[in-house]
Amino acid sequence: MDSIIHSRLRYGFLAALLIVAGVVGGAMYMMRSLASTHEWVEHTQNVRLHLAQVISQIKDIELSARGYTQTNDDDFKQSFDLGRTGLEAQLLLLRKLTTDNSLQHARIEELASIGEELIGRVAAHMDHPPIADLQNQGEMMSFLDRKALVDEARELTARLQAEEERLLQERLAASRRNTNIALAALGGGLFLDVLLVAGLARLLWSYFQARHAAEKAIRDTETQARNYAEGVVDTVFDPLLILTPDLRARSANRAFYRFFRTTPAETVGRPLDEIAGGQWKGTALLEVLSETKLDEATLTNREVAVELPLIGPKVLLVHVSRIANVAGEGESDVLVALPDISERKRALDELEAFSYSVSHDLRAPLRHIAGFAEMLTAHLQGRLDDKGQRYLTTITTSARHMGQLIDDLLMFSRIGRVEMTRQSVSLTALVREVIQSFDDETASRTIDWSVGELPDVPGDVSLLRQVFANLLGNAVKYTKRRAEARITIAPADEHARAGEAVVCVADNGAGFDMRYVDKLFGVFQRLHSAREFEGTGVGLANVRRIIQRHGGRVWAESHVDEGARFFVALPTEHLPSSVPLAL
Amino acid sequence: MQRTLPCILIAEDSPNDVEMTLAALAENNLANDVIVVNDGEEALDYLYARNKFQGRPPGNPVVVLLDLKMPKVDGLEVLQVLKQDENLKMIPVVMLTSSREEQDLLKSYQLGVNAYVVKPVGFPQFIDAVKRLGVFWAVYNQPPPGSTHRAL
Repeated sequence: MDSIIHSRLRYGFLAALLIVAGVVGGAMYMMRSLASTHEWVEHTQNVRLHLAQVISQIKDIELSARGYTQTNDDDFKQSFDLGRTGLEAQLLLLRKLTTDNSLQHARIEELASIGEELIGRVAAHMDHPPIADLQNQGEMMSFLDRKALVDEARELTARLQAEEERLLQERLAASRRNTNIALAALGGGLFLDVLLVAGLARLLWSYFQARHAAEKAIRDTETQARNYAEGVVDTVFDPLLILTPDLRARSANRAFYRFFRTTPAETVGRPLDEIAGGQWKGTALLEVLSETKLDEATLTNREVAVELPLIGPKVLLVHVSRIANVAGEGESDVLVALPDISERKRALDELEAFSYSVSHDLRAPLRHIAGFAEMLTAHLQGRLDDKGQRYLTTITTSARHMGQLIDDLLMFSRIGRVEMTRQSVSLTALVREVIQSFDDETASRTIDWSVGELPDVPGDVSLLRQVFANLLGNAVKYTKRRAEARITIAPADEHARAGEAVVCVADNGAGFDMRYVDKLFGVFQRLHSAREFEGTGVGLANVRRIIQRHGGRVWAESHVDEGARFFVALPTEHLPSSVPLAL
Repeated sequence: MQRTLPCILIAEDSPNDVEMTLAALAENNLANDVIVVNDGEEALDYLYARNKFQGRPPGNPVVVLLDLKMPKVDGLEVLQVLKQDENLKMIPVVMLTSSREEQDLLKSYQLGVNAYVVKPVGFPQFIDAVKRLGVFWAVYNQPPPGSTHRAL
């Protein structure tokens, strides 16, 4: 856009300049032409003036001849000499004036020869004694001859004058024509120039208007964006700190000042060890932040325990990332987020203590119940009737069931907490391995296993093994009434979203009522009675927990007595960090 | 066959567990070679022959079966003291516990435990596990010199 306007302006101004140059050149040419016309007018006037003088000199010469004849006075001789010199001088001038025009020049020469002849006759006349008789024949003849010469000279002069007049008119007309054309051209040029400059001015004006509007829009957007960003940053509940590339505080959000009980004055512009009134001095937080390679600047989920003088012991989760700085140029700023996880940590510790206690303290009495029931059975060997035997058996199996429940529950809680290791897992190999583990259990049954070509996914192999152990275990369990069980494990990518692989586990077993599908993956939720199918109701809850930790999805479809289909969708790309599980 | 000093030290605060353990060991005739203490403090007293065990016959047990969770001084603390003592660190120590928590396993092995056995919930399995333990440590395993080995 700008470049188009720039080139238009450039060429526009160039054109305007050229036109102005043309107009000036034209004006100069016109001035010169007018000046030469003026010279011609002068020239013609000069010629006419001199011609008039020639005639007057000729008349004087003739007059002096006539006077001499009548008076015989020598004064006329003098006046003749004057007239002759004057005529010669005038002719010389006229010759010069007409050198450029051969016609006029020839006429001047003719005039000169007439003059010469007249002079010659008058001179001859003067040399003879004067005859006072005008009636004298000879005298009369010479007078008439001279008159004819004078008349001829007069006529010639008139012709010269007329020609000179004609030339002047011609030149004046040509000059007027040229002047008109030049004036029209100059006027047109000036008009064009005015138009062009006006157009350029308009273009410039609108360009500056548009630019001004754009700059204003940018300023407005910047202000809005800044207000928006500040609003977001201030609303965030976690303390946020923005550092300049040389690790000084640029700004912080409200949560930061609230959490560290400090003020912007104690923070902004200060190096790390002076931030928040120097509270961080000597803490692990300062160490972690100083050690972080800020040019690479990514640190996530680094747990840091600090002992802060103002607010006591806290556990912070440190995240460091690079962000474009406010100016949008140069080295980027560093965003430090410091969510306080002390409470979460405490809750997690309590939960661990709880499950530890369940693990140890709840299982011990259970073991005793089972153990002493067995010991009682051994002790009363042969002295127990059937009823007593059944009671003891019930005690033993119930204790075992409760033990299983506790184990499953512990497993469920552990799945949410154990560290996940990520590696590429071949689901085909994993599923085959799990199927093999059912060999003993299913030796007496007819099960038609079918395993499709399953994908490799990134994940924790032991957790994923547990997923398929549960799903295949369920399939085995709920097909136990079928004479021939069919269990299929196959890819089902028609259900996959972007970046997912889906595996379907289908059986022809008892199935379940879709009305209760929401309860299927809940802890201790069972859709079948223990009398029909044994179980604790934790298996599918574990499946969902594991899949969720992998960032995947799990769902099921079924109809009563028509088998069930369980779908597991897992991300095919390695996730940057494991999805933290809500407590 | 000459009966000598007890060679298995069991530290266990639950009398029920003690009774079941002894019942299991009795099946291998090992019950009489056992000394039972009720918490970690007593276990250390026995090992250092102090307080109520002052003047006990000298010699170290061939194996110590430690429960993890005990009053006063718990199993991990006993293990730590034992493994840091020049004279006692060679005594084999077996954790016999209800806990299969990863952190307990990790901590125990970091402190140098020699074996870690989770008490099975089922009685037959429990009996079986204790019997095997007793036989392995008291009969098959050659204890370090200075132990009060059962005279054969």
